[in-house]
Amino acid sequence: MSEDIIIAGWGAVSPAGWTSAELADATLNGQPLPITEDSRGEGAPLRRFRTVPAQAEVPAWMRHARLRRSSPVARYAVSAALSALGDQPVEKETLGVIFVTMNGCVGFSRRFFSEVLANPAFASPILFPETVFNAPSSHLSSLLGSPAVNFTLIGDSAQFLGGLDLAVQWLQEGRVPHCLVVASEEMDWLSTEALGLFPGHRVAAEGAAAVYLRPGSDAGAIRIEQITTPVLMSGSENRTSAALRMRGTLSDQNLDARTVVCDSRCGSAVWDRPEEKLWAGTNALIHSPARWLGDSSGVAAGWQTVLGCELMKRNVSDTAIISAVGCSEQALAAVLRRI
Amino acid sequence: MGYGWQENAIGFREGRTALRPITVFDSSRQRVHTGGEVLMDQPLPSVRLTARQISRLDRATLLLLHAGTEAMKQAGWSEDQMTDVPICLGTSAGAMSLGECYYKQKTQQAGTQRGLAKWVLGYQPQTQAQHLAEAVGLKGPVSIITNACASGANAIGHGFHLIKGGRARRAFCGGYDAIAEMVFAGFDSLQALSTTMPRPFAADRDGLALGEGAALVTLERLDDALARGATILGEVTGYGTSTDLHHLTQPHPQGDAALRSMNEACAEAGIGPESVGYINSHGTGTPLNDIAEGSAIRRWAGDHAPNVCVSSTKGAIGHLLGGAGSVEAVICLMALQGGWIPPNVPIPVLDPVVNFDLVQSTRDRSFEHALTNSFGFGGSNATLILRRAHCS
Repeated sequence: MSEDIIIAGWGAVSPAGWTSAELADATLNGQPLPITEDSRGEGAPLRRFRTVPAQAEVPAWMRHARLRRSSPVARYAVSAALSALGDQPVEKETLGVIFVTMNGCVGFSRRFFSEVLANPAFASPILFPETVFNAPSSHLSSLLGSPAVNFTLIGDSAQFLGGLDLAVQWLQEGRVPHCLVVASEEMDWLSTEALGLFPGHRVAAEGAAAVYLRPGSDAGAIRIEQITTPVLMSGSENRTSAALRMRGTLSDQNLDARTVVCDSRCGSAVWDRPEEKLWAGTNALIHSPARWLGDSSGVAAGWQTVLGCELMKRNVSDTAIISAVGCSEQALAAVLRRI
Repeated sequence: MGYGWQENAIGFREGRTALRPITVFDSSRQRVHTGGEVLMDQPLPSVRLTARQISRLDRATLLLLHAGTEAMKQAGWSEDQMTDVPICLGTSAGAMSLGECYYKQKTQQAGTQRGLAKWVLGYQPQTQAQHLAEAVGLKGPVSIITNACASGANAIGHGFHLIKGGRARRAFCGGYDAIAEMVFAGFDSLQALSTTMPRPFAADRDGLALGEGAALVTLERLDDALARGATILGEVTGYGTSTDLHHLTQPHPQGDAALRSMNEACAEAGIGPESVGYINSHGTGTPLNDIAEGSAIRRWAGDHAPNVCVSSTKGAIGHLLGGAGSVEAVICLMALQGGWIPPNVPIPVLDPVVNFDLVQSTRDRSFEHALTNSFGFGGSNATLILRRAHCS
């Protein structure tokens, strides 16, 4: 990369809590968080999931008019984004925003469509705008007061790294002086039952992840050293072959004990197979946040990225490799290194 | 309007209207029963998908494949040139109809799992992108932008910047959306749909018509296109974006964010209002959009406003949501190449905001630069500047 782009802040919301520290602690703890099991009845399948714990107090940002009736997706996204910005002096009016999701605002969409089917004349005009994929990112830009470029990207569980790559592009081209990349998902029976349609008995999860990017070379900062070109899964390219090709495109193949690999395994033998031996033969530490927190769809690679940042901040490692083998679309990786 | 460049160019040049009764779902309980529905009466061109794959495709993906295969055929890229070409797609709802099927079965037959997985997979926009990639033989990375009604323009703009910034040598870009019950009812719930006919920039306008469609463009460096003797349809020279913070669904009344987007695009293209021969406006026909966009055009053009030719093609085909920005960009290419300006639907009494030249009947006119605006929910704004091709 021609110019150093650093991750200057990060944040997360997960079943472990509303901070990235809790996400990292839960992962390092190596114990699965409690699973909720439930069914809608009437023959509906059993759902297994982990939700974000309720906050003890309503945060101040919830007073913003845009957030009054916003979805959990939007609220998680805002919380993670504000954590990423922290108390740094940030000129928010110029902040680019990239929002990543796979399922989007499922709860409002389900509610709105049920109203449409019941009687379209009474389908709520309040709900509909919140169903649109880019509603959460719009709220975020509004809250921050930034009229700068704002993109919502849809993709699979690896897409967060695609968002990271786009942010690097914008920063290097000078389109924005700094940028947030945020991913968020919410729990709803509609998407949780969908997860159960596929093999692997994965546990659904909700939450958000965010990183704040800007050019820089501050000592101790985390530099984005490489983001590999996504390997698209289709036709003859399955998850395993895509993962192998992704592995081969990493610039640094010698991973020492000061390197941590944050991979996308979730504890399901079927789903984890492509990454099971992907990092074997190296001395790197390997951590898999989804194994303990659950499958968070579009947030997954975001949690992995935040974990990598946390572990470098805690001096557990100097380099983090984010290995994102998506559930259906792409495999790509990011190399993050502490300056 | 039809399939393919030729049929569409003729239709837009003649100012045809292609709004018709909705048949893709039962609209009897809606207030509005018409839209820009595509007559799916053309077979899918030969693609690299199996018959089984094709049989499972939803309406939105079929529209995407029709446009995608035509664009790739026109481009004439060799297999070598297709290596690692990024795909940049914009959509607002993807294959929403499959999501609707999934929901209905889940609520009506909660215990039945059969067939659900294919709907879940097919619903996701990345699956539609994978089908497109496989159908035309591309294997590059995919970006799916869902910036509501600006998505299609953003996809082209993003591809443009990938090439301009040296990150890609070629890009395959565009947008698509199909009419779906949930989205239709959503716009109706907001009372954004016209119960008569969409009349962009009319004083008595009462809303928009929803439409469906897709357009894709193959982008490459000018030098490369010239070197291989490609038929160049036009140049992308500028791209601007902004976020309107005013409201989730309502633009700033004076068009502040729209103006920012237009200015940014023009700055990149290195041109001013006097160089823009035609604006394909977002022009939905809703009271709020047209006043905001009209105000933005006035402010952008200043004293030159009376000389700026503007029309909205949404009166003819409706609002294509995620497909709108790319279809309207292609309409601009047709107009640039053909030397004509597509008309707005005739407007007896103009909104007072209109101090520009709203083109209401086809005008033969050669021009150098076209500007196309796309504004969406969430305040997503995008503007593209397109230039007439000089070499082919």
